[in-house]
Amino acid sequence: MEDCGGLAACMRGVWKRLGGRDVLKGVTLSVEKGSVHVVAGLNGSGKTTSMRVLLGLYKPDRGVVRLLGRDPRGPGRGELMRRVGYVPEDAQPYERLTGLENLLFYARLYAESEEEAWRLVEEAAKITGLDWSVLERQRAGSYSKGMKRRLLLAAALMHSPDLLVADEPLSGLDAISAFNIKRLITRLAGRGSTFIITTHDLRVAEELADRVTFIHAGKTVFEGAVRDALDSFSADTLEEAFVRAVGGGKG
Amino acid sequence: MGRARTVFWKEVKDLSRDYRTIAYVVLLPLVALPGMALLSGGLYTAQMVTVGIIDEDGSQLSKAFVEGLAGYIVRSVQGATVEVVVGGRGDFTVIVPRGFGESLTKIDGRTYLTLSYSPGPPVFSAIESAVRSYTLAFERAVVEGRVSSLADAAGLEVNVDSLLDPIEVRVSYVTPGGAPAGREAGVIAFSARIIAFSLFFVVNPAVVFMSDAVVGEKERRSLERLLTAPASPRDVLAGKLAASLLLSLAAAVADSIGIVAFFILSGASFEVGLGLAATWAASTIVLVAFTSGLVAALSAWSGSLRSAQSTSFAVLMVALAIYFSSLIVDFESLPGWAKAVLLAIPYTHASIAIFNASFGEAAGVIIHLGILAAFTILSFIAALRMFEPERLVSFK
Repeated sequence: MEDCGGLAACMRGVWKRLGGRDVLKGVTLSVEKGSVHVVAGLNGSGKTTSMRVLLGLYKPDRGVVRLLGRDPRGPGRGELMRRVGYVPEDAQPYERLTGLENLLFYARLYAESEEEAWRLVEEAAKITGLDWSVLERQRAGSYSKGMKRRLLLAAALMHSPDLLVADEPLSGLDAISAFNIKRLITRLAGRGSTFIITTHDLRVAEELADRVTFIHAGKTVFEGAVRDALDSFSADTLEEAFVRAVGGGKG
Repeated sequence: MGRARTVFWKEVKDLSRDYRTIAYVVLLPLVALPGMALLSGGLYTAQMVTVGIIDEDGSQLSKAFVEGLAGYIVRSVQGATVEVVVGGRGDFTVIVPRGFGESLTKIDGRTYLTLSYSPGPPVFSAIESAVRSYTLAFERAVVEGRVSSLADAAGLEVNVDSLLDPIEVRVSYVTPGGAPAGREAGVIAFSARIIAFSLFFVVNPAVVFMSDAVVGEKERRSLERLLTAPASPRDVLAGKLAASLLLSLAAAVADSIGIVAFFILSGASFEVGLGLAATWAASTIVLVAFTSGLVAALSAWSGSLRSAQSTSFAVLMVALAIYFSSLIVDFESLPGWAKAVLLAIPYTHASIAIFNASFGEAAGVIIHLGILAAFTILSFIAALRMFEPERLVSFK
């Protein structure tokens, strides 16, 4: 079994059966610290399940999983989760709470004191670029899809996690909202944060990724630097490399 | 505890801002149940019924009977507006037949009355009851006259009351344990049945709030994020249970007030002493806690919103069966197998605790509330076991 030492996130030969079907059939993932790592795959390829296993929401049937060097389902999970941020696919804020109350709720879960919680809220508000009066007065249910996504990203980033996992963070967003979020990720990546971003859109991967993992039909079919992916598949774009990696989509 | 408190804060804010549900669950019973009683009472009062009395006999005695009956019906039938017409038919008609007076003046004569009406409306039953009561009193006067004349003929001195009513029935209430209970025990026992019935309405909000807190959060796509925050599933569950408990208790108070107001405004006697009130409050709290724990476990186990709703509906049906039975069934009189089945259902113990409290039997109250509390702890343990991230995230 390959060593996971020094990696921000690591999966080795992970299998997971759900609903009577093997959804993961040997997923391998190596996320280096300080990198933006894109996990790309077709819809239903096992990206979300892989992230859930990585975050300890699912117990793997087989294989090794390490998150910031630790078993995500092992003892001290609460402490481990303080160092991780997560934005699930299609996640929604609490719509009957204001944006500020949403942020305060998560801040209180991460902070040790009320003062620290408010400091995290202020930090999160800065990260999102959302207007304080909008956060304070309007319920999150009235926000646009882009604003909701920024709010969730802020809630995931407020505690300055060592690793942020975002599952399809740009899906369904308009061009401006997607641009704002990509800019936010790029800015934070420049500060040394580690990101795992899943996407089925290879253009997003091309724009953001240092390294990529291609998952197809529950298996890792390629893992490495973006340059290596292009070289390995003699491709000009990641999209082309991906199509070749998955054999044109047959699985 | 701190993180559970944070989840509690979020849940209370979130649930209490669901104004429509709050209105349905908390405000509606306070307004609708007394309103229903007032409306049905008002509609009953608004009924106008004509009672026709036809005197085919026309004798002195029949005239006296008709006159007395007409007055008695008007005085005794409460609520609806009753007009009595002598000499014609009405919605309800009383026919005094030919030979009525002659039969009654004979020493052993017998006659009859014909009542003619369409069955169904309660007001007609009330009128029939009034006719029977008045006829009974009139009969008694006739029989007294006959007995007196027979006694005179025989040269005997007779106490007519003792002759006609030689056995007096005296009621002495006792508790199920055999201790004497006061005259007010009948009213208190009936009040206890109303309270036991009202417990069904106490269970209902807990089902609504708890299933929403578990399955609703999943459906609103915020649960997965919460399960990756530094709060353990136990913290999350504790916060949700506490919030559901708080709102369900608020709704339970409203429901209890509403259902009692319904019965009082409908004319039922209602009397609650301190012990019964305290048991009512304690039963409500434990019952809401038990139901919240049970629904949390079932919701987490169900795997889908539809399935969670179906299982919660099944819980409600069991509770309804128990609490509706409380109105008419004496659990102690049931055969052993039926009692064993009922005692295995936690909801039964709240009813029995309340019945015990109505007779001042503190030991019975403590035992049955204790059993319900033990079931509650089991429901919390089951909820905790079911509240597992993989199960919750895998919901379809």
